[in-house]
Amino acid sequence: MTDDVLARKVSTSILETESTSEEVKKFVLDCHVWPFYGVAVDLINIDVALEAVEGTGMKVMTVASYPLGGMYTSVKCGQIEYARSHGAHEMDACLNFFDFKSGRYDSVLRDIQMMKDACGDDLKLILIPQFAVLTNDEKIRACELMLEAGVPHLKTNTGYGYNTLVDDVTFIKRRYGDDMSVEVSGGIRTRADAEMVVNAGACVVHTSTPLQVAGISPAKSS
Amino acid sequence: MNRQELAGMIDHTYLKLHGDETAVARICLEAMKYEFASVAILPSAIPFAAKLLRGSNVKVDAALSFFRGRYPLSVKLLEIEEAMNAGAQELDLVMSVSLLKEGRIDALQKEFEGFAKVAGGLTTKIILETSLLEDDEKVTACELAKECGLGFVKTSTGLKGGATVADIRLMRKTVGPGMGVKASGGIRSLETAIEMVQAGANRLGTSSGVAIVEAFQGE
Repeated sequence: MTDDVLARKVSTSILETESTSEEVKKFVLDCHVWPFYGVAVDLINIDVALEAVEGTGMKVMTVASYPLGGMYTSVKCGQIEYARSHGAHEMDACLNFFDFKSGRYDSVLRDIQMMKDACGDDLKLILIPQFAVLTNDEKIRACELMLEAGVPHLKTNTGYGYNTLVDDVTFIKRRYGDDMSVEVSGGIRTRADAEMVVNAGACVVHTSTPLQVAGISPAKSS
Repeated sequence: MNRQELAGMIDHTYLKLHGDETAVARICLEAMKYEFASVAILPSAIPFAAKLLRGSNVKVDAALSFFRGRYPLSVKLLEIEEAMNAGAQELDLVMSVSLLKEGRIDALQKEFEGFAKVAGGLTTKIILETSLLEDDEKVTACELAKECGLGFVKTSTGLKGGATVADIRLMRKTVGPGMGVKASGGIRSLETAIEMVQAGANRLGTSSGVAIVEAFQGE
């Protein structure tokens, strides 16, 4: 895999509690050298990020109920509506982990359906079931609920120490093939990590160390 | 301070993202047994906890905007309303740290005023995330919280550093005796809990409440 092919599958993020708008802008501009697949920012930084990605083709992603997955459906839909009205390209939203782990699957399904409706046609919804805390049966259950609600885009974990195993990617791709797109987040630090999950079928790799993953310097400048 | 007074200052905290009904039920039962001030939990667990705690003196404390606090005000206020509808009796709210860092004090004031207004009579605790702030920023946030009528200033979410004795002293000195000061993050022993109270805290956020109170009994 060449550097820029891999870079186009790499996504990074700036989601720090204390980041100022200026810092977010600089971070996104620094991604220009590649460019990457996209960059995830908080709702309050969508405007500045959209301005900063202009001309690069990079997507601006944002997050709902992230990273603890404990927010109400109505609040998540409020976050989605805000993201949509500000023109974000993609929305990464956590499932309701409490309901899911408590076996309230009807409630989880309704939550997903409401979020999908709130996203409409112009905001791509990617759901995070948090594979690191699920059994294999629960992983399948999460995928089934997502597919039933018509959301075929999965991001394995939130990161923050919840790491993804390449076996998880293989497991899901073997079962669902092209019916479920799989993005990987959590524990991807090096180029070897990234190539392994991409070869297993991941379409996007999220990492906080994009330069180590895509190569130290951009191919274009060499 | 006796054992019961100490227990009555503790917000029994459980913010694990994979917690289910069984885990939250255990937290609620512990809180009733030890007579803690509250259980501090994520919003999704509130309806369940509120049902279990009905009729007891243990309050349901909602951890809102957790843990980065980076939402537009409209979303933050919506979450407060929904948590109240679900049965929350106290509200722990992460402030927009970036507004302070950007020097947008007017916007931060609007946020604090919005929190106070929507919370109505419920106890509010504004989380500063002190590990990310300079001392003058801590003072600014404390003064603003007091001015806007919030109930407590609180050090930390627990996910970005924790309370220090120096921070609690500074916060208590800034807000005076009439306002609440909550120490949270890294309080795992009786010794630390007592240090925080001696420095001026009148509420403690910890997931080690049972061990702390049990240790008190042992002395």
